[in-house]
Amino acid sequence: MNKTWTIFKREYLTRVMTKGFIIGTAATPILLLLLTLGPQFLINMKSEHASKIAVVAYDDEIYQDLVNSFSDTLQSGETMFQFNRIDVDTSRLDSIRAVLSSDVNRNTIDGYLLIPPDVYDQKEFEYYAKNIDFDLKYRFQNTVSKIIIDKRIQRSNLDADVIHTLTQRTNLKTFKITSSGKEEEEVGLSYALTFVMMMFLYMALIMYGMFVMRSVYEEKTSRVAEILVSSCKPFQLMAGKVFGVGAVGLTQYLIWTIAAGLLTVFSTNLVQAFTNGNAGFSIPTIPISVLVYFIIYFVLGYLLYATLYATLGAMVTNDQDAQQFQFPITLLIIIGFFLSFYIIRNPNSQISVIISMIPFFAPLAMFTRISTLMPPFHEIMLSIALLLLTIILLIWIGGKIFRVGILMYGKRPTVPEILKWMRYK
Amino acid sequence: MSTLRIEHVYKSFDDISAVHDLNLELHAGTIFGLLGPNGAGKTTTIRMIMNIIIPDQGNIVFTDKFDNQANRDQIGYLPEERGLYKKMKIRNLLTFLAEIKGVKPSASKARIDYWLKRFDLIDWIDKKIEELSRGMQQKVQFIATILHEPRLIILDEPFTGLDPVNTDLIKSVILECKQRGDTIIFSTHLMDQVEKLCDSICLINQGKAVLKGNLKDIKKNFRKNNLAVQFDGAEPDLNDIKYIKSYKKVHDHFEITPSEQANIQDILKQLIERTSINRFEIVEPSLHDIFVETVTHIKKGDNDRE
Repeated sequence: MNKTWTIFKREYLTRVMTKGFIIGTAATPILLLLLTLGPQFLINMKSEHASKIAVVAYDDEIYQDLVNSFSDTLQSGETMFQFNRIDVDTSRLDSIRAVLSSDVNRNTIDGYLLIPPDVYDQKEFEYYAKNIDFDLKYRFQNTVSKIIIDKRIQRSNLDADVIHTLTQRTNLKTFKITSSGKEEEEVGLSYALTFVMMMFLYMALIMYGMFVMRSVYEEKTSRVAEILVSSCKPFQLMAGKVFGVGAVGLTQYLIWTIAAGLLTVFSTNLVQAFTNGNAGFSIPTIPISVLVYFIIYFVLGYLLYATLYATLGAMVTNDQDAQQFQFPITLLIIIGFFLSFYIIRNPNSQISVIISMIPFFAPLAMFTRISTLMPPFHEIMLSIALLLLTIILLIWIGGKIFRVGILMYGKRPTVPEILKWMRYK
Repeated sequence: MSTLRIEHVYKSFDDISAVHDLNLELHAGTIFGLLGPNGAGKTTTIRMIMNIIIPDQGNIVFTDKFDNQANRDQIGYLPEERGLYKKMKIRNLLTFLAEIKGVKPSASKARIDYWLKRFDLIDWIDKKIEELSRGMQQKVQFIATILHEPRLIILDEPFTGLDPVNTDLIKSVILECKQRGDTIIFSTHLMDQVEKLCDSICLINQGKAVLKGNLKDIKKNFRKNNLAVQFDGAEPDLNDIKYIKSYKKVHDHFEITPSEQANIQDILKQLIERTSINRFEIVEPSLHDIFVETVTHIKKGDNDRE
């Protein structure tokens, strides 16, 4: 065991102490944050210059309401939207539009709105510009639509305030009943959280599995393996590498979890501060039990796949073969990942139960069930037991192949050859 | 005093017999040459000694100071194809390789300094392996082999690619280890190295030991020594001389094969009576000749049987 520890230590330290690891660990959350918040931030950035928009409106009241609704200012304090009303009668519309279009082309104005005289019945108005700003389109749509509705109500001699009160939307609030009988408000975020954790599991299995394969394969081709197996049992080498890389993975995820935890606390405070403690929702917290299961399935799933990848790394003799043969293993993980999309919608169906018992899919499938709808305890235990049995079996078979394969060079082994390796003493 | 005995060891892979009834005895303080053409079973034998693969039959017994439980830690192995972690610094790498052989980092530090100084690598201690020249990497590999002070040192072609200065340096370290009582196995097909260093050899061909024992005895028994004779005066008629089986003229001298019952002194006496002699030399068969003759002889035998 001492030698396994020595190999483990080297594997762990040489990986964690690299610039690659430090940068990768720091950059991933920053990158994720940028990817999720970045576009939002860019959209919300105030534009630098004012938008000049001509409005062809037959109705002065509509025009005035429109101008009043767009009171945004630039950072300099200037008004952001400079509207200019064009007064026309229907007969001259075509020539006016030609002039405005050429103004748009010469950039003297950014665009023009055309609100026809029959807008109350036509239910349509038009906007012309070089670039149709997504955000602006919806603002025009909503603002003008609201103005028109108000005008219609006024024309029908009804009280606009009463109408608004009467037509107010009714919101649906959803609650999640947990096994402990508590009812928690559910805003769809825990659904997203399940998805994020699934994604993390999926990424970890593939990424760290591949690390193990590469590590074994490089040791084999650089012939370091020859020195190592003369010092320790091949099985100790395999175990040291699998655990070493696994520990690197756990370290990385631990750092990310802590960072995410801090961010959650920080952003909850932020939300509370902005809404004076009356936030419409709370950021969901992950129940401890789910976290524990996450770690259990992470470790078991990793052990299962890392064993497969390590065995593969010992079998292949060149890069191309490594690429080619890792695919079936990776495919198993990918299938498990996609099956989990079915499970997230039907966590308790017969099929979901069966899938979550198959050891190769269990890490993702069973964890998905746990985080969406806690399955009966005996089902979880059964899936863990099956996983453990499979892992032991794979380590036993893989260890035999690894022992012979790690010292075999030259041509690619055939399946019958590999079967023979397993029988060697 | 024997340190390692290989007793009736068999190993086959599928239908191919890699090692067939091998018997060897290695003694402390000797250098043992394991010779043989490519694919003869040298590596398989070494791997069985190191317990990487297990013989189908027979025993490999460590005797003497060897503790069977920890015998791997008492073996130092220099593989033919060098293998080091390219991205590791010399210091960390050597510490790791010593630790995996059971030497704690606190104990290996001074030894690493000593050997790096001796091999003129101390200035490179914090450099990565990939920054070193090939010769330097080989020296690091050799240090890694002996750093944990093994009792049994297995060297597979240790001198390939080294300059004469470093070859001599490594040779002197090997001889020191021998002096200290270590057992050294030298696997090679460079015959002149074997002749200079080895005390005894075993020639393996197709998994079988075809020739083994003390190097001097092997040479003595291989065949009668030839004579190299150079005449100063007139060349006598060699057919008149007794005890000469055959002769041939080579460049400036004659190579004479004496007959089985020949007395070398008699031949010399006869020659002196007839002419004056510049050079009269007993030529030992070179290991190279023995190797080639033994191996090709077996091959011929194989062909005959077919």
